[in-house]
Amino acid sequence: MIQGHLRRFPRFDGLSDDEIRVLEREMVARPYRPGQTLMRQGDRARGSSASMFLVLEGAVELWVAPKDGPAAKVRVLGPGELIGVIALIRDVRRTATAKIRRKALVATLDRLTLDRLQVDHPGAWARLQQTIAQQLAADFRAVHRRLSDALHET
Amino acid sequence: MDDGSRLAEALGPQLAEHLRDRLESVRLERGDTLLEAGVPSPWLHVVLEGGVEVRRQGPRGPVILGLLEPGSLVGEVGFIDGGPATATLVATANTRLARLERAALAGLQAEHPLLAGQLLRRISTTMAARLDQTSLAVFAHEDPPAASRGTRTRLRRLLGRLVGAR
Repeated sequence: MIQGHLRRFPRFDGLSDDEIRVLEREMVARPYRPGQTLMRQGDRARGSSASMFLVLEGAVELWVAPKDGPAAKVRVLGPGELIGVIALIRDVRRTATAKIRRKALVATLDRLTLDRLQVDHPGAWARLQQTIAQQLAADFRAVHRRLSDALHET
Repeated sequence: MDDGSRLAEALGPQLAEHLRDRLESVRLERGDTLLEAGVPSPWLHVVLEGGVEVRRQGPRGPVILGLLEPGSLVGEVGFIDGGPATATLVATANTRLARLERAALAGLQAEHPLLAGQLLRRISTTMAARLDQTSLAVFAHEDPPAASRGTRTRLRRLLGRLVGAR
């Protein structure tokens, strides 16, 4: 089920058939209904509970709340995009809440599996690291566009 | 601190050792521009000596977003996605850097996937940290009533420093 999606996403271009099979085996896909929550800002993301999410179908909203303030919707992510990578990389609490916007199919991969891939399938692991880096680069550009707007309003 | 230690600080010891002879060296004089906002650059840089100022164009001239010191990675976003630089980078002193071209990543992935993964992970860690700091400031600016007093004060200080510069 995951294979067909991975082959369509540009960020997974160039994965070998073997690497795709490894990811198919290690990622768990499940359907979600609108309003369900993938992760909550402030939650600990430790050990096997620390997962990243790959949107296969549908749409997911990201909400961020400042300390003591109400949350605001900052982005909507769709098929092929990763969610929850910051806590996986930096071992910090979740920096956003992710809520299902439209009926979605989402695949998860936890930290323990990611670490195991590094040993067992370094090629697939390196490709995943590239996908994670590409997601962060896209997130970084989105935030910088908003910073630019903020600077020009001040 | 010698160049090897700076590279190890930025890339981790194993990767630094492997890449050491594959990196090009760059020298800048104070005031020289390393990257120009909006212009693509295929290079990932590591600052070895000196420093680089991160600037964006504001309504009243250049705005300083930060200073990257020896041991910092520079240009990581463009290195990953091939897109234009998000900021202009200017040397604040006589500066030496080591650089790796984007095209080298594919070769590294084919020959040494573990090292390629380590490099990408280092870059992701840097981006995640910078992303966190920037998001908070942007959010508080867009919705000031929702931000706590402490956040608003930090943001005012940040933007004040940014916009007041030059």
